Amino acid sequence: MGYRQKNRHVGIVGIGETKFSSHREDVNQPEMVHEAVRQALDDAGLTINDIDCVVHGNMELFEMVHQPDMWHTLGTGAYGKSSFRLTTGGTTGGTLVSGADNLVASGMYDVVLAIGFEKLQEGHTTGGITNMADPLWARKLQSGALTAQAAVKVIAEFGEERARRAAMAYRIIMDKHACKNPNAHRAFHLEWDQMEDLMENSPPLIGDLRLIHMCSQSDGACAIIFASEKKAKEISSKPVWVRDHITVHREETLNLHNNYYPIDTTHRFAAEQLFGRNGIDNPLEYFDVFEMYDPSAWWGVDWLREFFLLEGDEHIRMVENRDIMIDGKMPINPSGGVISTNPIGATAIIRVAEAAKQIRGDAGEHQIPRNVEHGLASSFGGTMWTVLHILEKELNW
Amino acid sequence: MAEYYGVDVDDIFNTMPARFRPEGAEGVEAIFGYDIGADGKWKLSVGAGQMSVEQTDDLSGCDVVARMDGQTFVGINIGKVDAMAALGAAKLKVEGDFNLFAATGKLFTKYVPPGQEVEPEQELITLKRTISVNQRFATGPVMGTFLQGLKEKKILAIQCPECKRLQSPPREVCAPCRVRNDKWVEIGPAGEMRMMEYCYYASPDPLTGETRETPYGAIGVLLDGCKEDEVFWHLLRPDQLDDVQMGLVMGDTVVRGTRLRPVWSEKRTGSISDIQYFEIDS
Repeated sequence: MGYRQKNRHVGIVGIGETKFSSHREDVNQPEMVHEAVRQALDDAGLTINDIDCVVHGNMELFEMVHQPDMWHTLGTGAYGKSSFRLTTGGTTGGTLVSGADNLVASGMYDVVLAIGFEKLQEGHTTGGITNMADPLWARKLQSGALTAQAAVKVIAEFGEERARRAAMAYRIIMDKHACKNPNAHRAFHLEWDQMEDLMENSPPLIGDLRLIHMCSQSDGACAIIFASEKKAKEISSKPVWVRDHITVHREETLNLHNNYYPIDTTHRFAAEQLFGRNGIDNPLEYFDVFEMYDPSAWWGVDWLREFFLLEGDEHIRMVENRDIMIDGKMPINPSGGVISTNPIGATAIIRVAEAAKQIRGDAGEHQIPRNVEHGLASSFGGTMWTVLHILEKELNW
Repeated sequence: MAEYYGVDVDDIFNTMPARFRPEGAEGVEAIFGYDIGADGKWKLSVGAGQMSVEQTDDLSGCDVVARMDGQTFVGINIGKVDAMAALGAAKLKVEGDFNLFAATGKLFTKYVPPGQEVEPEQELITLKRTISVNQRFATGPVMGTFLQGLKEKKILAIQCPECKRLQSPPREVCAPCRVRNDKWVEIGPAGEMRMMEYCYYASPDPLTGETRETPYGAIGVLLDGCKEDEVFWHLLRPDQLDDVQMGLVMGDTVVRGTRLRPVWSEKRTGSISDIQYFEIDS
């Protein structure tokens, strides 16, 4: 894969997140976007006049608005500025970060504002996702992003009991994290003694995928300001550096329902490429936090193995041993992750924002209780596509 | 009786007659049971634009029964707890027709504790819109050949000249090999079921706008002549969902799935609907 190092370093200097919830009927779209933009500017100590370029994105047509960046201009502050719209499905938020990073690294702009938003209550999420499928065949068959494929696979490999318990343990851990994050949409205060009850009684969606396992449908926005190394050091006392990123696509998944293993996932492929070219031999040792785009507890469990390049049941043991908890060996989603909060076009940029907050050390109640220097953030979408970002506290790689 | 958020469970049931909205009850004819744990049980009857509610020990004869604790019940009624969230966390359990239970949301105006009535600062207006669009999608010569095959009760696959893999529905090129596919092969029409998505969730069918009937099974079938992961994506006959076995190939583990065959539509137009579904090939 062709790849060259960046022309110059790029730092995150401002972060803004709205409160995420199922209903934001108190504001319209540009007003909601503006909340995140305002926060990011305040966080950076900048005004909109300091922004050279605005990058805007969400799920294409989920709210059935063509060119929402045009309607949102007053909320984004893009009036009179360079502006781009990026929309790559579930990975949109990650692509926004990659795009903004590239725009600054190229030397075209010194300060770039990236904004991801979604107001899922103004459209129909599952209908929207189903409409992304090929209209000549797959649209008749697709059931949104709902699939029990990962459940079938993990159960086949590790047995019903162990697999179901691992998925529910993962779910409960994510909820415990969400309860610490005031911006999280769903925080149920689940307790460990509810495990059997939830495994038995949470309403089934598809096969072994139950309602409790699946991500929410949320409203909200997230904005991040990126700056060149020189500017970043002027603006912020603790910029977070975007070390590298990778995007991997594959063809459509018309043959997803195959039960034929092993398969090459874009997650593992992306991780191998990205870690390889950055000399990261042991990602589990290297990273202090991983904000994963985990649309369901089943995927969350299964994908740990892919992203950390693990073998056998190492990923299951990470969950069973609660290594993935906020105070564990490898904290996953101290924010509560996507299962708790999923405004889709914002979801992946939130992963980067949350990993960056952990590195800055100012995440609040959901701050990991030890030094965080190296962060990983993933995006997922399209038909099984991956975007991965490495964030760093120090410019020393 | 315990108070939750400063409200008795009793208060909510007792004010139901005053809060009843006949316009919200249009077309609703049902008996709803409420099992509020230690706080008691209630039976709500709705029909012909009328309602009655009574405390009872016997919830037999209810069309749907909702079980939850007092905290959850009061929370939902005064807007402190999201019903879907409570359902997700198994704090609310619904026995019977969930969609029927969901209709109770429209039956009453919101409960406001006495003394807490406030005039809203401003009515927030929500605009409701429904979009209906007629679309025509060109299929192109490759997909067109495949769809023509369906009209003639043939399932065609296209083959990559390099890796020899089969794709059905066909694609113009083999993405991993980056070469144009050039050879047509007839596959199936019978095969082995691999994965099935046993769908309980009533998602919309974007081709018709109608909600799909549940449960349904979206399946991958390894049609005869295909190998490895070359499955064909379609639907299972709805009444056979519980009679089939998924196939699996994982390392040394090989499980053979149920043999299936397509059921063709009488009138075939060159579309996915030319096959109604796959059924057990016995």
